[in-house]
This record gives sequence, structure tokens and C-alpha cells, in this order.
Amino acid sequence: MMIELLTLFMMLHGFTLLLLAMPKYNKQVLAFPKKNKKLEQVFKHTGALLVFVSVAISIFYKGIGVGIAWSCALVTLAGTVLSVTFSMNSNKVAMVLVYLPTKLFGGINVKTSAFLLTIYLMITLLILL
Amino acid sequence: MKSALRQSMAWLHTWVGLLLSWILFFIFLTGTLGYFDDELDDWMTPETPVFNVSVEEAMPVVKRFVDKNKLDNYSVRFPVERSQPFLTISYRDENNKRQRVNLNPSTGEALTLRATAGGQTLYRMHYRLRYMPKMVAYYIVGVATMFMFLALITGVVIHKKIFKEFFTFRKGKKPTAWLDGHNLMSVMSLPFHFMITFTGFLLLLYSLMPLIMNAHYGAGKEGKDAFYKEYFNRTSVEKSGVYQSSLDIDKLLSIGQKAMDNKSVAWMSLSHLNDANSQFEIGSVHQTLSDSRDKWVFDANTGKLLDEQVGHESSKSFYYVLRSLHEGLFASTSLRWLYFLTGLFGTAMIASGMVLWTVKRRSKSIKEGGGSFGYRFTEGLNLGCLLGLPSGIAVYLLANRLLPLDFSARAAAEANSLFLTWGTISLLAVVMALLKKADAAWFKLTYLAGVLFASVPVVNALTTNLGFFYALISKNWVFVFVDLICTLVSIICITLAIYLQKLFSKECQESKAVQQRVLTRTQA
Repeated sequence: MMIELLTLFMMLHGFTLLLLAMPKYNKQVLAFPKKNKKLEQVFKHTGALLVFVSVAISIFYKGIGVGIAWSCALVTLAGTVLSVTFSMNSNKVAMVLVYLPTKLFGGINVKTSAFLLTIYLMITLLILL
Repeated sequence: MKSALRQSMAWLHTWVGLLLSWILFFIFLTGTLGYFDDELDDWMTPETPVFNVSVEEAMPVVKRFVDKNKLDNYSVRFPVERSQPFLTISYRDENNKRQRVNLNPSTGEALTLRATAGGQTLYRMHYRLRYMPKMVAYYIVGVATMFMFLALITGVVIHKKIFKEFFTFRKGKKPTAWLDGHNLMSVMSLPFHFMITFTGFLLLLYSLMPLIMNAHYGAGKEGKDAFYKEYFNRTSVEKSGVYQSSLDIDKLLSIGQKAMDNKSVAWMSLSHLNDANSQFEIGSVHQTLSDSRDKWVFDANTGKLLDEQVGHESSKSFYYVLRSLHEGLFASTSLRWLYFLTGLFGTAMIASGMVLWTVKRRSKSIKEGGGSFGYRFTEGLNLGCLLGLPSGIAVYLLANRLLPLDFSARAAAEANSLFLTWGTISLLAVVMALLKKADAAWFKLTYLAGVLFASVPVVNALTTNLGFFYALISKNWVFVFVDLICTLVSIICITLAIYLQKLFSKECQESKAVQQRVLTRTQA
């Protein structure tokens, strides 16, 4: 169950970063710095990395076939939850998902993605060891 | 050029989607429910207790039954997986007729279950349909699958910003909200849709493309049987008539378990007891994608391993992996729920496509005073399909509880109740749409579906001793979840009906106000 939860949250945060990397969506979030191309690039790469690591963990733990089936199902679940809730209240959803790093670093910046990446990699390592 | 291609693809997507949407909606909804076919079987036979018995604990019951009935050929399925809630022994009686008994694995008491169509019939409907020959159903489902594939491919081609609009959902604005909803449900579970369509088509491979098989094995039933026997390694031996003492069944089971290398035993069979050709077979529980029908065959007289079918050669392994992916046989409970969710997304994708077709043409039809005959007829069919089938499923569940237990054609009557409800609602919807009363039909039939689903937990509590609270206390999760899901669907339907009623009444008032203004201006 730990692995399932870890991969779900990792994918949810990965998608959040990917979503915030797109100007179409991040302009709806008040706390997101405007027209910051560098930040968008960092979020895009970190988001993609988190999604990739989430899929890799699923495959590693469950085997290729079951892992891919799991990942496809998680993409559906995480993507839908994020899209529907984001359409309801984009600010709150974005802030809930990046609450901790925002509190720690005083706003959404490059450290947000570094924080999420570090936390998830540490949890993964802890589980692996 | 690009725009022309996209436009032609959009046209193809719209009409291919619409033409087969009714049958695809049926296939997707019943197929999605099929992920919980065994659980529905349990719900539809409430008299079956829940057993938690190991193979070793069930063996004394098997031996008692075999000795009592002096069986020479039999197979046993143990209650160790979700598809097998009790101990089942299949055998041939003295008249060489196949018999099957379901037993309590602890006491050996025969279980008398009510006759029911169960979850299996609902699941089989998604590829066998109903009221038609098997092959005709396969061809219809095959064509629908190809159309679905075409709709998916054209859908991807016309969706030019597939990644940028991955998270787009603009609620509130009517046509765009439906379009976004349709896109969201399609794109989010796109891998699932491709997988389920492709693997679904492949499962019908031997029926839809039999020519290669016929060329090698001959046409007709004999050729088909020869192919299946060779390809699926079906082992069968003739009785020799020469007496030879067979090993004790406990001994054979222990030899089999050793050969299985700690895999769980799902079934075993013994053929021709005390004969020179006596054989013992044992099979494992389905746990991974490709271990379908792993089995070990032994000489029942010596315990010598004759054949081991573990894993398969690449072509068959490929077939089994795709089949397992489609049916989700390997899935744990959590993954099964996710399968169910993505299946519902597929159903909702088709449903939203049908609604989108209507919504896009709605304002034009209001201006024209109700729209053309074709528009009204199609809207009626969409309505009948979208609300008739779910209502039919609710009635199917209710029929299981309300039909008399001694009614001879009980199982068939349950299935008939589904189609009767669906047919009646569809007829009503088409008539109302043709009479330009589609708006009223939308919310009234949605109310009806809500009421039908709400009555499932109530009727269940009144007719069985497994009402929601009792099931919750006794941790009978199948009953708890069926009640919860029916209540949830009911709440969704009733909320939607209230919303639609308000929306249509507002639209009607606005339309009347516009007409009044036009009339006043004309008079002035």
C-alpha cells in the first residue's frame, strides 16, 4: 500500500508542476511569479521527472505489465482529480499541493520543485532500503 | 491541407462515434461492471456464506464426497480466489452426464443457490450481447470495436493541443464544458482506451479471422476443436481398461504442490482412477499477467511429472498478456477499482460524446421550433440509451431480490427485465423527443433512474438479512459497496435531474420572452 500511495502522490505532484509550468494555467494562480520562463522550465522538467520516477517505481515493484497498468490507471486518477479541482478553484488547489515548500521558502520558486524532488527521492530511498 | 485533414477527421469522428455510440455505450458499461462480476455473483446469491478455508482444510470434504459417490473422473475447484467462493466438484455420473455440485468446504453440506443470471451474464453481455446467435454478436461487437478504434485515432488527430489542454476543464459554459469533459475523459485514460479496444478485438481473433486456422486445421467444428486442443495444450487421455492402482489423492496433491514451487493451488483433477492411463492435473491461482492456466500433469499411478505448462511460447504468452490486461484477471482489489474507474471514464466519454452531439445542435433546433425529425429521433435514441440502460441495470438487481425463488425461468427473467426496462424507456424517450418534449424526458427519466437505484439498497434490506448496517458490522464488503454505489448513483441522478429541470425551465422562460418581444415588435 505504501508504494501505491507514494506513486499516486508523486504523480499528483508531478502533474501539478507540469500544470504550473504552462502559462495557460499558471496565470490563474496568484502566487505564481508572472512570465518567469526559467521557473516554468524548471517546473516542467521536475514534473516530468517525478512522473517518470513514479512510473519506474511501479514497474520496479510490480513488474512491467502490472506496473504499466498501474501507471495508466494512476495517470487517469491523478490527472482527473487535478483538472476538475483546478477548474473549481485554481488558487487553492495549487496552494494545497505546494503548501509546505511555499511556507518554507516564502513563495513559489525554484526551491519548490527542488524540495518536492528531494522529499520524494528520500522517501523512495527509505522504502527501497 | 492540415486544416482540411483535421476537418475531415472531425466529421469522421462525429459520425463514426454517433453511429456506434449506442452499442459502444452498452459494451463499455456492462464490461466495466464485469470487473466486479464475481462480486455481483456473490451479491445476487445472498444465501452463500463467506468461506475462509485452505486447500488442506477442504480436502477431507473432497475425499468424503468422492468416496461416497465412487467417482473415477472428477475435478475440484478450491475456494481460494474471488471467482470461486465455495468448493465445486465437477464429475460425470453413471449415465456419463456432466454434473457439478457446490459444497460448503468445511462441512461438505451441498449449497442450494438461487437461480440467477448473476454478474457473469452482465459481463458476458458485453461481447455476447443477447437474443442473437453467438457469431452474429461477435461480428457486431467486432465492427463496433473497429469503429471505436477509428473514433479514438480520429479523436487524437483532431485534438491538436492534446498536451497543452491536458488539464483543461471549463465548467459552466455549456457546449465547451461538455467538449472539455469529453476531451478530459478521453485524454486522461487514452492508454486504457487504446489497450481495451485493441485487446478486445484480439480476444475475438479466432472468430473474426478464422481463415488461417481453417487452412491448417480444416473448416468446421472439428478443425476448430483440433486447433484449440493443440494450441491450448488440452490434455485428455482415453481409459486403457487395464487395472493399475492409483496413488492416494492426498499424496498426489502433495507431489503437485512440491512441483508448483509454493504457488497456491486453485484446482485439481483426476481422470480414470485405478487405470493404467490415470492422470492427475493441478493448476495455480492467477496472479501475474502471463501465468494464465499454468498447470502440471502427473501420472496418477506413479506420481511422475508428465507435462509442465508454466509460461508459454512467445505468441501464446503475448495472447495471454493481452487477454489478462483486458480482463484484469491479475488485478489486486485496488487496481481492480482503478480498472473500474477507467472503464467508467470510457463509458462517460461515449455518453458525453452523445450529449455533445445534441448540445451542439440544440440552439439551432430551438430556433427552428424543435429541430428536424432526424435531430429529434437521434436525441430520443441518445436519451433512451443513456438513461434506459442504467435504469435497466437497477431493475436487473431489483429483479434478483423480488422474483420468487422457485420461479423456474428466474435467471432468464432477470436478464429480460433489464432489456424490457431499457426498451420501454427508449421507446418513451423517442416518442417524447418526436413530440418535442425531450426536455421533460431528460429530467423525468433521470429522476426515474435515481429512484430505481435508490430502491436497490432498500429492497435488499427488506428481502435479505444483509442490509447495509448488518453487512457493515459483519464486514461483508460486497454488500456494503453495492449499497453505497447504488446510493451514490441515485444521488448523482437526482441532483442532475433537479439541475436539468431548473436549466430547461430557465431556457423555456428565456425563449418565451424572446418570442414575446418579437411579437410585440411585429405588432408595433
